[in-house]
Amino acid sequence: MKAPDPQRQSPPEPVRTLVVVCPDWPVVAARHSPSAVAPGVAEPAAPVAVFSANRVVASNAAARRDDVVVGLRRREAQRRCPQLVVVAHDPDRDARAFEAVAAALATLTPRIEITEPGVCSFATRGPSRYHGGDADLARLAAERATAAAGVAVLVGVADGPVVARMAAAHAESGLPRVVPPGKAADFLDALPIASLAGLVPEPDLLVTLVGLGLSTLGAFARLSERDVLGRFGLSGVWLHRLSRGLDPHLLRSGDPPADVAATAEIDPPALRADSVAFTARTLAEDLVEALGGRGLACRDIVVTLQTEHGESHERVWRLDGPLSSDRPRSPVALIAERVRWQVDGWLSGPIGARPTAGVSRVVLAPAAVEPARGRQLGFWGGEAGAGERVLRAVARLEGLVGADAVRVPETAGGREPADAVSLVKAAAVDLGSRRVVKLGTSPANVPGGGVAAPPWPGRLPAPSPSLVHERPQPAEVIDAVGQPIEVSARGELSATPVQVRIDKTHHRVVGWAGPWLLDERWWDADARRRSARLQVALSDGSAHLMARSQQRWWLIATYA
Amino acid sequence: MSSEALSPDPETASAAGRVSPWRPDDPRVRPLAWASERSLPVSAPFGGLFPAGLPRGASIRVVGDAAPSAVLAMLAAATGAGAWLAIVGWPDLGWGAAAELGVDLARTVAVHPVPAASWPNAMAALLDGFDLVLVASQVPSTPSVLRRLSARARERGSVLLCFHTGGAAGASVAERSWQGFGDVVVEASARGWEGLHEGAGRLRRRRVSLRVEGRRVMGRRRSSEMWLPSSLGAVEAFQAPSPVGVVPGDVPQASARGALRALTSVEAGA
Repeated sequence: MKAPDPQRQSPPEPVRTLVVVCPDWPVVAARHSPSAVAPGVAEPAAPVAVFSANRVVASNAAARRDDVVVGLRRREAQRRCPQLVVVAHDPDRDARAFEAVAAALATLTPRIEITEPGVCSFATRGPSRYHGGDADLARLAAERATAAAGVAVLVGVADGPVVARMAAAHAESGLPRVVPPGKAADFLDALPIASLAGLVPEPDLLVTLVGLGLSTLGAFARLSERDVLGRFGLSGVWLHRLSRGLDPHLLRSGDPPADVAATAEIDPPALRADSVAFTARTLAEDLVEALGGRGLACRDIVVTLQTEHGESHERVWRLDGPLSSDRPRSPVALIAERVRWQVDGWLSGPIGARPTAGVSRVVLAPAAVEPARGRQLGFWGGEAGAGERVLRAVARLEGLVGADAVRVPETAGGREPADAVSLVKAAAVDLGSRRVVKLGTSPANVPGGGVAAPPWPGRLPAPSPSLVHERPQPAEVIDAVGQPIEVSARGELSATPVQVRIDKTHHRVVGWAGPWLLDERWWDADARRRSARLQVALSDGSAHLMARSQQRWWLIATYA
Repeated sequence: MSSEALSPDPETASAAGRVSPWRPDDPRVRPLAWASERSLPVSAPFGGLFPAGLPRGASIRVVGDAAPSAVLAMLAAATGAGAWLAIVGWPDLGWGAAAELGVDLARTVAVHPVPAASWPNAMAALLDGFDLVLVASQVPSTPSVLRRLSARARERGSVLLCFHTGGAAGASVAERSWQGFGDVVVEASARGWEGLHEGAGRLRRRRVSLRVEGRRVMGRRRSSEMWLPSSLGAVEAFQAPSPVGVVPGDVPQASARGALRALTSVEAGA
């Protein structure tokens, strides 16, 4: 079977979508949870904020009145609002609680896509005709979701999920915002570009556009697509299509191959979310591998759970779409997590909807796919070059030892051994497509006409020392009568070196060369660097590079 | 799947009525891994010391006063062939020398500093992802941690290398704590520099003698001499009037034998 090639076909019509957004969902979920997560959280007027890694991820209206906004540090939040109820973030809790909302909406249409806990969407074509139009459907959806969530929800209907999500963001609670078909561009026209923050994969691009004077989406939409592609690349086109009211996801995603699905029987039937998720993990590996063999990656996945008694529970989950800015995670882990959320939500959902027996069957099927271009690897791009194994190890390592401690060498160029290469953070470079300038090569002998290091007159020729001391060690170069040797301004030694003292130990000099003078940045009084360098071979077979600066000798490198 | 794979292909059998010729890439007879996949390449001067390349899964300890250059020269060819290298805890590495010895800096990641508490975990993460992990043994360790890291390297097929300059026994406390480490021990001793005179010339090249011994070198010592670094900063075989160590004609034979042994060890393992 041939894999779909979504990039070649012309983009199809956007799917008319209804989006339900429950604002501040982590706070709502914390209030709903049967076991109180923090004292006072259930009081309606109490200011509540949910924290992850010491930062606010969600706060309620009462807290926002005291300026407790997303991203704030905990201490600062508590300073601004001393009576703040602090709740730890728990994605599992959010997903579990959201099942009630999804179940309420499932009475309108069978396929609910859960974009993330707190946001879900479905295509309106069928249900809208049944319920008498988009406006009536939206009102109905708002009523049912509000009843299930216990808080006012925002509902938006528009062409394509992203525009619908923006329509929801501009809806008033209890009053759905319906953008008529084909009028998405008019709706977006006057919206500020900044209102897309959090909805697009590259927030930096928004800042750039505002900096260029394009303050509204309409102004951006009036640029030609060709110019946008030339200047901002594919992510620019993505945003441009969005601002013209087209569905940018359709650029990349396509229908999944029909015959790829993974099914597992669980025997004995599982009553706990963890054991189902455990089975789902191996299942997810099979699915990802089967899709990967066709060059595809899963964007949306349908998880179907069945019990011994024939009850069935189906949900569509969005996997790490372009809207999330998570660290790269493996698709297998994402799928397993969503299965766990779904089982958890089902088992602890509304009493009448709970299963009467253990889960005996799990079916995973892709609902939408896109070309596998290393999408899970986030900003590294993921083109061939760096093995995925390496990228994952680097990401893991940055978590263990800190991003500052994982660095890659870049050619800097300089006359001293320590200047030739500087280390930059691995997180700041694209490991996949790195090119490092070859040291000490001239453009003539770089194959393929590549880049070569510029010459540094005064640099010592190869071989370079293999140990360059982090900080030069104080040393002394001594003549036959035990006097320290000096170097004149013309580069002459005051006597013949006979001994070198390093770290209180004396070594006999068996060979020496130099000194070579270095006078760098003489135009800048603060950065000026003068030194005289001397190569010495010692009686123990070692060879070192010494330098005299600031009226004394230093051991700067060792040829080991 | 397995029964299908084992039964002869009915079409071939009926049409020709004879056994189809053996093809090395036939999935039914192919070894789990080729000898070349089970090792990383080394540059020509090291061919006598590692006829089959650096065996994947090995732990290698390089000691002696020329150890820093020797260890970089050993793994340079592998990075050039696409292997990724992580260098842990070596802040005073001379990157200029590494580049001259042939290490591909575009496939090199330096990790420093590593807190002592997360050191074993960081090493485990590196062994999962990198083909070559080089540790400067300035970090004290314990035999049990080293044993586990060696086992992990063996399992993942990475090559774990450590080096120190203080001889086989180690000169400092940290170096001594690595004493039992390594399936393969390479001793690199400097035999003197050339090019330096009383106030004239410059350091040009150094003669280094290397000796390899250990469990993964088929029970016999190998030794070789080379210019490390040579006058261009790279590595060159030492051409002496009377050859020391491996006779040049012996190399291809030895490499074929090494490959064969790797193959048989695969079959024995499978």
